[in-house]
Amino acid sequence: MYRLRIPLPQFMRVIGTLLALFMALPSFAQTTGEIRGNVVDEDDLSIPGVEITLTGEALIGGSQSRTSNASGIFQFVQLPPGVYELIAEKDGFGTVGMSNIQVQVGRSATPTVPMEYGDATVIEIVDTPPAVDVTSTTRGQVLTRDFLNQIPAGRSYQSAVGMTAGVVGGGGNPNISGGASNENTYLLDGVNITDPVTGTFSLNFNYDAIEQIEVLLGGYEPEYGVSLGGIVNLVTQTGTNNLEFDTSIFYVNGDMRPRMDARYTADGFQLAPTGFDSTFQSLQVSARVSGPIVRDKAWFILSYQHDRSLIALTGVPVPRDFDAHYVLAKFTVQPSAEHRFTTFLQMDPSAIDNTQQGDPFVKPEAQGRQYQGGFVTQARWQWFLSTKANLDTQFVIQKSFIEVGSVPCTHNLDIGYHACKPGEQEDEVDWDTPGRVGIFGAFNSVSFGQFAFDDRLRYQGSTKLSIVGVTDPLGGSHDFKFGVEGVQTVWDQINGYSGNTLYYDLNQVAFDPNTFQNYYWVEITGPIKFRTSGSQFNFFVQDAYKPIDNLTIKYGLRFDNTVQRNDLGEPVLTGNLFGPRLYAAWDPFGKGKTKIAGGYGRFNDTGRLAVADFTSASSFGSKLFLGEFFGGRTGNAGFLNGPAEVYDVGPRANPNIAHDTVRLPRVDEVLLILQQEVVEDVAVGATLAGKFTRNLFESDETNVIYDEDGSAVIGSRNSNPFLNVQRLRTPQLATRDYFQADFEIRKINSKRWFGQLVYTYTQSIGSSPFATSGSFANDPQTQFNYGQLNTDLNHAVKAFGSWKLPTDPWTQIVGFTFEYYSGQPLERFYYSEENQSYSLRIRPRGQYFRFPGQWQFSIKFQQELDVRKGKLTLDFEARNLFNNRAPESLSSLFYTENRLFTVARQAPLRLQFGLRYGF
Amino acid sequence: MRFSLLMTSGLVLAGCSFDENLPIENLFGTVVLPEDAATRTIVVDGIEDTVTDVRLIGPVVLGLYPDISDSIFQYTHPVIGPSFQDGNPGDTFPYGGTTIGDIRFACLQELNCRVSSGRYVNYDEIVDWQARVGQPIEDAFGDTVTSGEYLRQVCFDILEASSDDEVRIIATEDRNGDDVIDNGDLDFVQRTDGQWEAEFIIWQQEYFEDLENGGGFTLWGWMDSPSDEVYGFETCLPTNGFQDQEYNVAVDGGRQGRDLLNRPSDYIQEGDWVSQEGFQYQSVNDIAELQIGFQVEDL
Repeated sequence: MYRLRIPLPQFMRVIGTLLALFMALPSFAQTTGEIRGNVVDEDDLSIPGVEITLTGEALIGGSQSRTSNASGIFQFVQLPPGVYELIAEKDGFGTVGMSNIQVQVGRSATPTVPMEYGDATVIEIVDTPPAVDVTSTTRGQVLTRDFLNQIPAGRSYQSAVGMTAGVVGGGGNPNISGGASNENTYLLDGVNITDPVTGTFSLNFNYDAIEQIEVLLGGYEPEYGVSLGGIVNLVTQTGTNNLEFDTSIFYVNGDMRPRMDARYTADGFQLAPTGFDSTFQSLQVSARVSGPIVRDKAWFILSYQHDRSLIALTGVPVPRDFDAHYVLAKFTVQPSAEHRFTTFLQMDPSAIDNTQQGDPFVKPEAQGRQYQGGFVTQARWQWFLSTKANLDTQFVIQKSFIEVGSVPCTHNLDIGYHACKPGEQEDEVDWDTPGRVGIFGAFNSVSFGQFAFDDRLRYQGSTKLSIVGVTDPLGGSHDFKFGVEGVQTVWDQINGYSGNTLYYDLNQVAFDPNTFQNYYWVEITGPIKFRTSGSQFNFFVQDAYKPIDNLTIKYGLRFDNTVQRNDLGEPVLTGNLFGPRLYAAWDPFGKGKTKIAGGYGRFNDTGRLAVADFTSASSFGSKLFLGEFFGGRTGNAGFLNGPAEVYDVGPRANPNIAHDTVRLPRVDEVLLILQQEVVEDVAVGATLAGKFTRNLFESDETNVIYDEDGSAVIGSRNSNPFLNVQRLRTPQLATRDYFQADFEIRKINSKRWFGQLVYTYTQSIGSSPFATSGSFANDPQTQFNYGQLNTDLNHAVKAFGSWKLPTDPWTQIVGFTFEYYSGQPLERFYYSEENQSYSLRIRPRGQYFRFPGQWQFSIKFQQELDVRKGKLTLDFEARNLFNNRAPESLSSLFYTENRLFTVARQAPLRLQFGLRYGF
Repeated sequence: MRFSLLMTSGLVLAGCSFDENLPIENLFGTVVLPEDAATRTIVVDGIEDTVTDVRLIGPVVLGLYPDISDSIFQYTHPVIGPSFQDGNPGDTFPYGGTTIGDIRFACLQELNCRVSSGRYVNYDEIVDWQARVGQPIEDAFGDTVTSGEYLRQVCFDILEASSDDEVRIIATEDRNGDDVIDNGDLDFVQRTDGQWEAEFIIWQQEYFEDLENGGGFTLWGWMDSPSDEVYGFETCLPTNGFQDQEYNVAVDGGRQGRDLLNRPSDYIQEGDWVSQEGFQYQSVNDIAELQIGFQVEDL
């Protein structure tokens, strides 16, 4: 029988509280780390009964004390990430002081405290974190504040995350460990901030407020939740007993770039290769203040960041104007040793003008404006029931919104479009003037044409009980965790068209708007308003069992119940999902220098509201009006039967359906990690991982019937050959198999410098690289859908390093990153009579061609200067100082130039200049 | 430790497989046409010539239906639903289908609706065939095309292709494994008994078993014979399909009708060949052999 060593009344309170929360609501990821050390004598024998006192700048509530157990083990849990010191005392052994104990989120620091016989002995030790973490079973990396500061990451946490082996793809939503770009989970201080609709990140964040980022690719425990890709766990700073202030300004210019490939003007003319250039300029202004409200009892941090960027793709004359404000306010209060309360509020209101940067055909006056942002707020209570048990409870509300409309009206006659009507205020958005679309989207003019108001809400509550150091009667000890969580998500949408009409014009002469004639126009019902919602309940139980000192077995089970409903309230996605995990880490020689780890885990996908929305009934009704262009046209297929015909095709509801046995996707992971410290503080390692994803969300076609290669429709099952009826499924054919092998050498703990070099080999084969792709919507094309996916890079090399130059009292820092990727498979599509576009495959996916390999090298230089009452830091960064300008995206989009041409190359040289002052 | 064993057992339970409960399979089979289906007396400049040639086999349309009937038309036809308008037959409500040979836009407007895939070994055969049937083709400049290579280059240019398999008109796959792309690699291959045989696959077909109602999941089809006038195909809609668009100049390439399976009688013309007996599936695993042996006459 286990002895929990908690007084019975207290234990009953814990159970009662747990049950109450279980009834009401809900688990969340790690935001803290732990110290699990041991005390040994000169003969390496364990010393029980040693008093250990822990202090640290990040430790609110003052020092903490523990006593080493019979095995000489002591354990401090729920420690905010940071650097700690301890003092070990015992009669007859004197005193040992140990400093520089580094605690990272989700990790165990494992210092060994050596004591010597003799009352007067005083030993001072500077701890050196081990080069090999012999207790961790996870695949991934913790990016510390120093790392973020010393590596040329462009002040983007997403770029920093990209330095982890197995993370590929740019932008805010990378492919992690073979998953789709919207199959990751993003956490902020333990709060799931993944967009409940799309599965992408939903919150921009103040770079300078980040304390650590934990990037997990696999091997993680059930408490981290669900993800078919990876976990990005952001942990913010908390404050200290010292008042700290920091302000900075950073300017980035990417205009000093080589000329790009040819692109196309708004009328479709190809530009000369050197005839047009792009724009990339960015400005960040940040300020952060943190400190005590009541010393050791109450801390705060306030952080603000303003982001403004002007980015224009080549061939697009008007830059995308991004204007954002990120605000973080966080308060941590620990009135007693037993209770710690934390609350934070993060907001990121932003406005983006000229949103249509991906389409060079869109004229400036038809650009859209997008307001976006939202907030997340958390109330958290950590109850330290004893030195071995604690209860961690939180409630969270998150809202994100996107509002899309046309550019506002103006009195500026030079611009002319959207001229304000009499009585209309400048900057008012025109909701009445219909948009106008030319051939293939060219000459989009007058108005953006569409509008959308999109609100996404998440209510989340969770609690987690941790009990550590539970002695097993058969030997060893357990660290148990139990957690429950409930989540309610809501997605409200209002969509419409300006003036409820959209004109499609035929332009007779390029560049001459007077030659427009109405090709046809569509009157649209609306706007439409509808709600999609979901609810989830989950619990987990996990254990880190150490039967012997050099073996850690981490196992657990996660259960997720999920319901995602469409706008009719119909449950489209439902599931009771079990995610077992079993991993072990073994230090075969017990010296803390060698690790053999591995195991198996199942990770489930609880679905997204966008998937449930696939079957939402709300849809526009419309009437099609044929214009004069069709005057000379004879009828065909019973569709266009003559001039000036009014063809009524609506209103109707979205016909998509869901198969009645849709399940939820899952991934099974097998993992093997080998690591060895070869010389002091330098480790080499190899990691082999296989991830097998099954039953991905897909849809097939249930109405129209295709010819032998899927290029044309030859019939329909419900008599309407123009109606596609997609059926949501999770077919067994929808799979992804991903293999990754990493070989690494790293030195990350040195005071002066750190560095890492990883070579990664990957293979990725499956039916789709996306979370939902429509790969099965054309039956004859299914034969070509299985093949190499975009994450099938084969070879990648990632290296980074930083060196603090020994020029005290001033500090200089030099950092660098290097990345190499062999090219990903390129998709090539052929003409589809049905789609009137290039959308057919004639070979299996990934068999056409591969992009050329690409590499890039970036550097950073910092100079710290001591100034009056503080420190001034000059910061210079050259991103992509050298690269081979390899194509990253090719297109066969345009009819007139169907041959593939380069849409985007590797980001060119960007120079960042920064100035920071802090005390 | 007991707790550990309990948790480990959860690993095993969670590994159960998933059955989607959808009988979806790829259906395989062959279609057999009589020798006469590819035989025609061609008259050019008053000279008659009886020809047996695979290029006389037009697109074959295959459909899966609840049942077929021989009492609706003079040829066997899928059963149809109610007709609400005189002269406008009801719908056949197909379960699925495919084609053997697709109408392709063969790169020149003159070839609109006159070329089916899977019938030519090379581009010279397209040019030669059109000349042989008295319909020599002209290019956009009004010049008569005499070279297959010229046609090939036009195809590469207009379809933005760089290899023959991307154009998808001529045979490019060595289906019979003799290391030569020849007539043996076309859709239809002539057997020793003179009949023409082609394999087909209906991809990802959902299977409906309906035997209790006197019918069932039945394969039926017909072959669109080339017309006598221009050797074109009635199943092709000349104003639809591929478009080569440069500003406001559109070239319509033609494509098959969208309701070939729903209203086959709208397309079946005199001279076309129809399946007289359908193939009724007893199991989703059946390998179908469909004879299309009845020629429609005197409609």
